[in-house]
Amino acid sequence: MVALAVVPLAQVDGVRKVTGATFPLLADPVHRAAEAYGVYNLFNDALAAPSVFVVDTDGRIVWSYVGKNGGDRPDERVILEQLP
Amino acid sequence: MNRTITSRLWAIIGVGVAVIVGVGALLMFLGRGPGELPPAPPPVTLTQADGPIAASINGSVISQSSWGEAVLLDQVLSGLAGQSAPTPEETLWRLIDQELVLQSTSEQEPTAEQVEAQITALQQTWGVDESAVTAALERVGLKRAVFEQAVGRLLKVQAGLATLTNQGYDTAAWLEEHRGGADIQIFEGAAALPISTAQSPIPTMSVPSPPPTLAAAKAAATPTSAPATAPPIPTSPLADLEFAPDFTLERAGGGALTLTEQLSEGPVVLVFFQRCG
Repeated sequence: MVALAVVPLAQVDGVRKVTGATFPLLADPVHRAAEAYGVYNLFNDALAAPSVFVVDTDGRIVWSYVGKNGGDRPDERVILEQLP
Repeated sequence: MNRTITSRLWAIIGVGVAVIVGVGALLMFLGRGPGELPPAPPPVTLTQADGPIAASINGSVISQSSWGEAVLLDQVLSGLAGQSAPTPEETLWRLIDQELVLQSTSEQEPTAEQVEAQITALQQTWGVDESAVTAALERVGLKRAVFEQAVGRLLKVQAGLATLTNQGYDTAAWLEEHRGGADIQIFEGAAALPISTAQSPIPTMSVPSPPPTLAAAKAAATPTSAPATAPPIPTSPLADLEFAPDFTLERAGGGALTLTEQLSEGPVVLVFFQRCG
């Protein structure tokens, strides 16, 4: 799993330290990735919409979910079922 | 009270001190016409930033790490003040505005007692005690010293604005003039990639772009079988999302991650978080 957020690196690092997360936490401060995936500023908040993309080793997006609001996230089990 | 002036004040001062300066500082913005501009500040040699640069203002730099701290601090202070937090872009422009004021004025550093008095006043305004502030800072990994430095800087900016007002300037007009005449560059990552120039009008604090269509994302929601041969992963933002656009981003804790390299180790679940912290 790779987590991304449209925030400066220091802020992501603060979260890493607080949570102890071991998976990659990436900073996308100029929202390049968020825009490439079409999830930037969907709520007019200059942030990424909560969203999940499952990518297989060929680079193909095999499943995705884009939240309809800030709290709309798929259940972890649903995501795990999509893993190729 | 003029709404534009109010928002301009917030832009310069920031959430924390804006709460406390209130009416007094706003009055400073009223009824003043633009006077003769002060002499331009002396050329500033580009200072060495601690790590990647977020922006430079007439040669003075704001590092990405200090920007990140300011963003975190804005979130903490906004939470304590019961306000919505500014976006990272808004925070960066506030830092730039502050730097413009500091470059053109020469106020004394506030004393530790003045900083503490200001912090106490803020806590009383917010209705919180010292432990609540400390806990809120610790939750995002900030030390109190960062808060103290920010308050000290804000006091200095506030004094600079007062000086400009006493000299007869309309500080809103003054800021607009100086933004237009300053060499302001915003950097993308560590690479010098100016996206704003001195010729630009005052940049908006937040530049909302029209929401992109979700059609492509929804079209990709149906699982599909993998191709027999691995196609190249498109890197264009215009990709239709059948394939994951590649990217390289800085990773918390050091280093960078490139999607294509990560995919060589196995499938990847990309999770975009709306908020962080």
